[in-house]
Amino acid sequence: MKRKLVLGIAALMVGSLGLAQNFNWEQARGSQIRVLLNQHPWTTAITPFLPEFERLSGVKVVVETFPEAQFRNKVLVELASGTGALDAFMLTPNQEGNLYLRSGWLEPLSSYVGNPALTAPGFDQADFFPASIRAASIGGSLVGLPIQQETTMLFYRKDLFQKYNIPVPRTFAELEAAAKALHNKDGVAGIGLRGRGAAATSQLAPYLFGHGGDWLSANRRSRFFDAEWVNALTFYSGLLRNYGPAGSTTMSWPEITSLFAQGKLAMFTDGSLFKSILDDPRTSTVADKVGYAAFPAGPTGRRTPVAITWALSMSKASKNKVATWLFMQWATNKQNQLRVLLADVPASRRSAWNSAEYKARDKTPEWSAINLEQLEYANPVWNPPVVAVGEVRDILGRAIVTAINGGNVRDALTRAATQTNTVLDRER
Amino acid sequence: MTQTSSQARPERRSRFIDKNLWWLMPGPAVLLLFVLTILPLIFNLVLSTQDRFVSAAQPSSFVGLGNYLDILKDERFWNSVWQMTKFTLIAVPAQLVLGLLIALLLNRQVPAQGLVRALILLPMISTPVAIALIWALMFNPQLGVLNYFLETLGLERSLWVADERLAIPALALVDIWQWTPLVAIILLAGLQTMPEEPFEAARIDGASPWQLFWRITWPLLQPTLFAALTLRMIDALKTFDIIEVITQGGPGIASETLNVYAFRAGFEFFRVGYAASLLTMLLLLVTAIAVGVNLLRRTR
Repeated sequence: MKRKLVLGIAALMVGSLGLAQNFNWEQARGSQIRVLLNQHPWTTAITPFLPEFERLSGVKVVVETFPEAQFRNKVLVELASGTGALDAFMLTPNQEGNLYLRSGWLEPLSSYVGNPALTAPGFDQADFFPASIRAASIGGSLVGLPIQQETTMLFYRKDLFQKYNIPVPRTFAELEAAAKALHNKDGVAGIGLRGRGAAATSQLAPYLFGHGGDWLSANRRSRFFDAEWVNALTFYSGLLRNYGPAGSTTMSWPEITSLFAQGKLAMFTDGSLFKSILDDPRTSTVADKVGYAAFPAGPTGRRTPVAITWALSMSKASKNKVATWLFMQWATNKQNQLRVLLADVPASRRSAWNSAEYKARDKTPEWSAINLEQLEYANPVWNPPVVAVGEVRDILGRAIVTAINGGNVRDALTRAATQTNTVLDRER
Repeated sequence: MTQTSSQARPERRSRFIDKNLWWLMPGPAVLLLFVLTILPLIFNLVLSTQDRFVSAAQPSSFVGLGNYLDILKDERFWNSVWQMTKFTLIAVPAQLVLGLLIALLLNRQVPAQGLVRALILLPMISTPVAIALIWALMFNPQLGVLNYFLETLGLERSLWVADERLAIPALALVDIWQWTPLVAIILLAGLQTMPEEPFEAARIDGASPWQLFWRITWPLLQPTLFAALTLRMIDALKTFDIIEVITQGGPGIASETLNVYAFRAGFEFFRVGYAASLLTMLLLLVTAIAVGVNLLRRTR
């Protein structure tokens, strides 16, 4: 009896050792998977390495890439059709995750990560930033592997701040003072922020959290009535109305980043990803003058950037789940996360940022340091946590436009709250 | 016995074809039309009676005319109808007037006539989305070329599509730029197929060019004008591409036409049933207006 047990344990140990050393990458050899990707820097960075995976696994990967708006529609239509023709796709869990999960379209991944027969020993889930894993988990269920992790950051013109002797803002009050001081100096607007309706909601979020507000109450009612909301939107829209560029209600990140790159903005806050546009002399006239700073602290005294995560997810209807999982873990492994980081895509693994190779080639260590520091506390819920995200973003977007145009903030938010509660009623 | 039957067969076949030619010939076209147009229309009507979400995340239910009743109470619907009307009322009359002027000009002997006509068609044959993207850049208040021109002329910079009041007129400007050539070509065809005799007779009677235009050209051009009006009006009412690319219906909902609103409701809010009802309303409105215009023509 005892001997049997000892033998059994020995066999188990040998077995697991064998697994650890010879993970079977070829267990789905001969199959083919179809992957839909967004036209995103990550896609550009990873695509050249795909043949490497095909050689390793014997799985053929068919990739289709579309610009973001078409990409999102395409994924939705494919998943809704339920044909199983789609295996993996990029997902912003905080945007579509709730809808897709509740629709039964997302394959929960926890059982894959924990299975040594399916997951290579070096995968190391703990290497991902906690914020990334939190963002990619919905209701406690992991629905994607994080591929890119950005945080809200302050981008500013070092030369102007120096010339006019203005300290880099650490609080909302200092941010407003700096915007005021630099507005209309040297042909720049004081500050740029997204003002185009729905697209602005994700960038209002860190200002909301900085004022101590949140999206929903515990019983899933809109909190847009709250004083924190009124304060946050009054502050945000006031910055744009008083010190923003003309026409800010039509601006999202492409307009803001190109204004800054053309030397027409003193500063802006948005996703850290956009560094690659600003410090590249081919796309920016101010490439050598860009300063990076942590998102300023609000009246709560805390810094409250948001963490925006892109993940790679599996369709529940996929007919090649093992092959798809092999692809997903390969695409997000340590080596590939380092590769994309070297191509200026903010990686979601600590090991990539801490690697000697990245540190040696890092042109903007201050940007890296801020990103790393902020990821420890950034809030991954940058969208209202509802199923009908698009509709609530649109409702809130209209309140933002009204506020920027000088309308009554409290009235606009009250309206938005009522409309949002109607949407929430449908979700019960 | 076998002989007669083999002789009769081709005859019977041809008789069958003769008798049924009326539906055999258009048959394939009708079938195609049924599959591509009628079936989706019926499906759309069925959808519009349901409170239906894009997936099983929310249960769907039959609501009869409920969506339509909601639409009548939806101020965003009324806003979109108003924006759509405003867009059409600015764009179409301008296109007709400009198109007529260009057609009259081209109808005379112009040097390098072929080249001029080809050039004038350029806006029409370009891809609408590409055009819209370029106009969006030109409208940009800081970096756009339109404000540069205004400043060079000593005028004040404009917000263009970033101004709630200017958004629809600015979008109509793009539509006018793009579709005036079509109106010009249609009217030119009308002008060139006019009989010479009435003009000759009038000239012999000593009519002035002004009289020639108002008394002969204008009345004879009416059918062509109404054709151009109907075509452009239907198109203008359901414009989608340039609006979605340039303003996405913004700022806020200041340039959101019914078509754009229905797109939002369907593809961003995932309220498929409601979007279907909005599109049915659009179909009804466009049909009513097109029929109305043609009734107006007959009574004249």
